[in-house]
Amino acid sequence: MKKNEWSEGLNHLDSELVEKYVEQKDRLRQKNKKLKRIRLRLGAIAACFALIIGTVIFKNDSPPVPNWENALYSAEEISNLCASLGTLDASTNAYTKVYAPKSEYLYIGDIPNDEYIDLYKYNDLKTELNKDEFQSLIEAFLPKLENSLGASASELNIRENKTDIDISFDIGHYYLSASQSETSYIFFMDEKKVILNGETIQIDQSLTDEEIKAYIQSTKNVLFDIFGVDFPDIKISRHFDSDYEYGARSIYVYFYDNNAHPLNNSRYIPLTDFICIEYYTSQEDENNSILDDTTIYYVKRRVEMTDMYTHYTKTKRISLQDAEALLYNGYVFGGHICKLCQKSQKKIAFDDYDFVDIEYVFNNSNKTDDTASGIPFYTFYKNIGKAENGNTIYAKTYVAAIEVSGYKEYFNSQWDYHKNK
Amino acid sequence: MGLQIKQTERAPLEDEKIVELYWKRDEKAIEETALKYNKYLFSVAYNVICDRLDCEECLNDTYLGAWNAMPPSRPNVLKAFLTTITRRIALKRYHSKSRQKMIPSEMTASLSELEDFVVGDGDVSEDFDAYRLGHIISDFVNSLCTRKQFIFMSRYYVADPIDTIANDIGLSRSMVNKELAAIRNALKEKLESEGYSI
Repeated sequence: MKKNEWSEGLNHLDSELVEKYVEQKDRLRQKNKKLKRIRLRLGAIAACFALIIGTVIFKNDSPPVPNWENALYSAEEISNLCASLGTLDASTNAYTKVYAPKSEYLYIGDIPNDEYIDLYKYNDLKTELNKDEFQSLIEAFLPKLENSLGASASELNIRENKTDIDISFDIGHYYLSASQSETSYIFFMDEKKVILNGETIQIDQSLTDEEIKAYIQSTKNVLFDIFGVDFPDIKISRHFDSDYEYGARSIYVYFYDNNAHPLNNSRYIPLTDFICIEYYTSQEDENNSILDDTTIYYVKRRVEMTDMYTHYTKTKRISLQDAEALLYNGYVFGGHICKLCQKSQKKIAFDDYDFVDIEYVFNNSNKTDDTASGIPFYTFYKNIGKAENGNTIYAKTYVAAIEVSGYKEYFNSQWDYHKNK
Repeated sequence: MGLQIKQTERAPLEDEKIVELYWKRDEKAIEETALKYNKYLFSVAYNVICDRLDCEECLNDTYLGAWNAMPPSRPNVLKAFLTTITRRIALKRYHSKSRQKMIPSEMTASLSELEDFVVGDGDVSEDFDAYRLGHIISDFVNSLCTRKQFIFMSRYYVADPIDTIANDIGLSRSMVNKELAAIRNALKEKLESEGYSI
């Protein structure tokens, strides 16, 4: 057969095969992106906010900036501490935009009354990769998984890389993958319709969080049985954006143990072992509030998180009034490492902000020096209008919740830098 | 040359809406198609002809082809429909150019892997029935498991590099090569059984 003939023959391939191929390719790409994203998120643990030299507002009648000469950190150190996380969020904003149809979905917590607040230290712990250990783990939960999905698993495909080992396999039409890094295992399954023990994994987003918790009990039991775990706590997080018109783009449900580490209280993914189901939908239908596409993650740590993130010290928490003074003077760490951010973002008056919360920002960029890497920040939210899909847009920015020296010197140098650009 | 595609930063339209624009004979259809699929279609063409200028011309021809095909066509999966058009146009150019010189593209590499039963650069024989061959290959691909189907389509339909396929499905390069060898052996048997001289 000639090359021309072969090509001509392929030109007449069944169009359904081409359709199936492009859909499969899109799904695989999306899945790989997700896996990469969760690896990054796990690597960075929680926050993906970085240094910002953002100017938010300059008011002539701004309150005086507090001055803490003997503070543990300078403003420059705080910005450096956050900077390495900036690559995760390539915006140029001095504030981050958050979308929510109702303020309750901002999940604003209470500001603690304590005069002192905890700082945490990251210790760079690693465990050598171990293929046999990994394979045994997969094989341990495989029979129950096969039973729940109603099919047998294919042979395990094992790929050893420099910094991780990947195992992938099929169970019926489901494609599953898992990864072992030096610190964690991630088991990952992303499918359009998952049926476990005969029950479709789905969620109705019109339910309240409490109703969802009650609804997912049976799914929880099946997953706990498969993975041989038992987590006492559930947290739910709904993610909204500016263009999806039919509610939450996705809902994350985490099963975890809140008491396993004090930092699990932070609003992002837990530090310790957890199972997460991300519910989403690829169908855009205003009359259907069901999210029935799912990504299931099971994350099992290979190092003790209580040793990896240790308590560093307690330090005085600055008052909300002092934080507001910093906010009104533009001494914020808003969202990105770009030194030119001030020129690309509309300034926002935060003086009548809507909400304030406290959030930890972490840096775990292979630090070995004896410094804290989990720093608490006041997070300020300001309603700045409506997105096209009707969701409210909140500008969110960060002010360090601990005493920091050298604000004026550091930010003036940054503002000079911007002016000269 | 040809169509000027205006690049914007807004979110792309859904496929159904783009198809609707074609049916309304609204020229925005082409702009929207390019906004959404230009990068992807460029990679499809580049795998075949490995020349930027040729690829750009292929893409312009693709958009023109889509414009002429819709209506009457109303594709279920627009991306697949466009892939088919781009591939055909790129292959036509590939075969016409490859008579004069060797083209250093992934398509050349993928065709060379099939040299056990695909040889020679000459024209299509008069008695050659492309529809029949297409039907036989479709039957063969349908008989493969999902993963092998994906590997076959990636390598022999759109000529994706082996590394890309390995990354897409999370297998090692050697594992993909192993799967490809098995697919080729089975395909050779199938073609022989259907009377194709190897």
